[in-house]
Amino acid sequence: MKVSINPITRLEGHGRIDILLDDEGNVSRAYMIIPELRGFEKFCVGRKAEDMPIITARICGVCPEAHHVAAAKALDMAFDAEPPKTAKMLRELLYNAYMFYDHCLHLYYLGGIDVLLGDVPKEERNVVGLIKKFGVTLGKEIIQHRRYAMEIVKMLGGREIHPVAAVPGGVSKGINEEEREEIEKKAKSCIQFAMKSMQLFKEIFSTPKWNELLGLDAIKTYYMGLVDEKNRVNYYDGKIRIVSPKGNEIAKVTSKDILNYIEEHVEDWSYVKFPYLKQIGWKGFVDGEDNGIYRVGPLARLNAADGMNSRAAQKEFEEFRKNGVVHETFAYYHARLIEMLNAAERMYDLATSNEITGDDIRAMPSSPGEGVGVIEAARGVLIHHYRLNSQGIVEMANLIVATTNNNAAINMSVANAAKKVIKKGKVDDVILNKVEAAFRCYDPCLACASHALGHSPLIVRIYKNGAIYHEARRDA
Amino acid sequence: MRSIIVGVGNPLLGDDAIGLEIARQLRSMGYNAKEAVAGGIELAEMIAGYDFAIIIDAFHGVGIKEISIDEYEESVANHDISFPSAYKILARYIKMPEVKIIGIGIKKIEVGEQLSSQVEMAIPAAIEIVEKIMEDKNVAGEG
Repeated sequence: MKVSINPITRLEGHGRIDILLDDEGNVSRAYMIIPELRGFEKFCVGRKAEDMPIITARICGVCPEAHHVAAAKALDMAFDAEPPKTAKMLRELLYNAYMFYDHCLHLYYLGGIDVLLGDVPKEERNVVGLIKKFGVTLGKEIIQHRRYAMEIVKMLGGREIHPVAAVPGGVSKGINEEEREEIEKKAKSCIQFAMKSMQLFKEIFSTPKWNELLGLDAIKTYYMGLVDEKNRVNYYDGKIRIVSPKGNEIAKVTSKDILNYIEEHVEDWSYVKFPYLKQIGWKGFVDGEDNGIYRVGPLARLNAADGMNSRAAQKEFEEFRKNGVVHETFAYYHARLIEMLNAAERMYDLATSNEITGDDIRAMPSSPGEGVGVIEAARGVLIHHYRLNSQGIVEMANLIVATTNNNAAINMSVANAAKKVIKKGKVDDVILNKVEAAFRCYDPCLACASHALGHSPLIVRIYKNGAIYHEARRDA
Repeated sequence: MRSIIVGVGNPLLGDDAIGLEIARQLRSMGYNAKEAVAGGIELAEMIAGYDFAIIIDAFHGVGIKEISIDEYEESVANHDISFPSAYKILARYIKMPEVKIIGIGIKKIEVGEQLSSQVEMAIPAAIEIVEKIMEDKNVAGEG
C-alpha cells in the first residue's frame, strides 16, 4: 500500500509524498517526489553576468532576495570586487529584513499553524483559525510587521518584492538619514513583535502536545551554516561551518571551497539530487556520524554556531542549546523564532550604525572569472556558482538551493513521521497532516529545489499491494 | 481615490509575462502601475491600503475576461495562502481595495523571455479595458 501527499500544503513549490504500506497496513517506506526539473542553470548560460542577480531572483516568488544577494556575492568574487563596508552593511540590512518577514510568514501563515493550532479541523487550520484562537490584535500585528520588513526591503532594494540594488562590488543605492531613522523605528517595533511571538510560542513549547510533535522525528545528522569570525550565526556572510551530530566542528570553509566538500547522490525516483558530505560518504537514508547527510536552515544554523550576534537572541540561543546539539526536527520552529528575533535586532543594530549612511557603496569590478556566492536563505544554505568568459558572459551556472541541501533529511523525516502515525492502514486528514507537518518544519521551497519556475501543487498518495489506497490533494 | 494597477507574471516564462508588459505600458502612460513576480499574500499586501486596484494576469484560455476574486488563483509561486484567501484575511484587519482582475488568455507557459505575437496582439485591447475601468472610476492617469 502506498500513500501520497501531493501537493504538500502551506509550502511554496510542488511535490508529492508517497507512502507504501505493508500487508498489515503499517508504513514500509515513504518518500517525497519532486517530478519537475526545467534546467534553470542552462537558461542562465550566455547571459550577461550583471543580469544574474535579477534573473535568478525570478526563479520563484518565494525568496527572491536570497537569490539576488547570492548572485551578487558570486559576482563580487568573479569580478574580484570586494564591496566596501557600507555596501556590505546595506546588503546585510536588506537581508535581515527579508529573513524577518519570511520567518514571520512561515511561523504565522504556513508551518507554524501546526504548532500553534495542533489537530484542529482542516477548515480551521489556517491563519484565520489562528486569529480566532489568539485574537484580532495579533492578526493586525502580524500584518503590520511583515509590512514593516517589506518596506525596509523596498527602501534598500529599490523595489517591492524583487530587489534590484545589489550589483557586483556593492549596491547601486545608499540610504539617507531620513530613511535610516525610518528603518530604525520599524526595526525597533519588529524586535518587540518578535519577543511577543517568542512568548506566544513558548507557551505551546511547555505543553505535552509540543513534546508529542518533537517525538515525531529526530535525526542525528551533520549541520551546516554560515558563521562569523566568532562562530555566531550570520545570514549574509562568513565561513560555512559544518558540525557533526555531536556538535564537533569538522570543517569551516570559505564559499570558494565549499563545493569541494559536497557530493550529490542520485535516486531514480527523484529529479532533485541528494547532497551529502564527500569526506563522510553516502550510506543511504540513515542518520548517524557514519553517513554524510547534513541539514541546513534555522535548526542547522543554530547547531552549527556557538552563538548569535544580538543580545536577546543570544539569551534564547543559550537556552535552546543548553543540552548541546538539538536533533528534533520540530525544533526548527524554535530556532526560526530565535532567528526572527535575531534578524529584528540585527536590523536595528545596522540601522543605528554611523556607517550605514556612508556613500562609499561600490568597488569597481576587474576582469571577469569564476565566483561562488554563499548565503543563508531563510530555508538554509544557498550556493550560486558562475564561470564567466572574458566578456563577462556566463559560461557555466550551478545553483545548489536550500531545499536540495535538505532533500535527504526531508525524506527521512517524512518516513519517520509516517511510520509513527500511520498504523494498521488507518489514514485520515489529521494523520496525513502530521506527515506533512514533518516536511513543513524545513519550510521547503520546491519550486526552487526543482528550479521549476512555476505553479506546482502537491499530492499525498498511499499505496497498498501496488494500488492507490488513499489520496489527498492539496491545491494552492 | 488612490488606485494601483498590478501586472502579475514571470518574465522568464514567455506568455506568462503578459501582465507585466501591460503594466509597463500603462506606467509609461502615467498610471500608478507596478509589476509583481509573486502572488498570494505578497500580491494582497501590495494592494493593501488602496481604494481601488486592477490586477492583470495570464490565464489558460482564450481572449480577455474579468475574473472574480474567488476564481483567481495566481500561478507564479504556489503559496498555500492563495490570493482570494490572503485578500479576505487582510480585509478583516486592514483596508483592502475594491479589486478588478483582468485575465489575458494564453495557450501555454514555457521558458523564454518573449511574448508570442498572438498574445502581444491582446495588449491594445487590454489597455483599452483598463483605461475604461479607470475612467469609470474617475482615476484616469493618476500617477
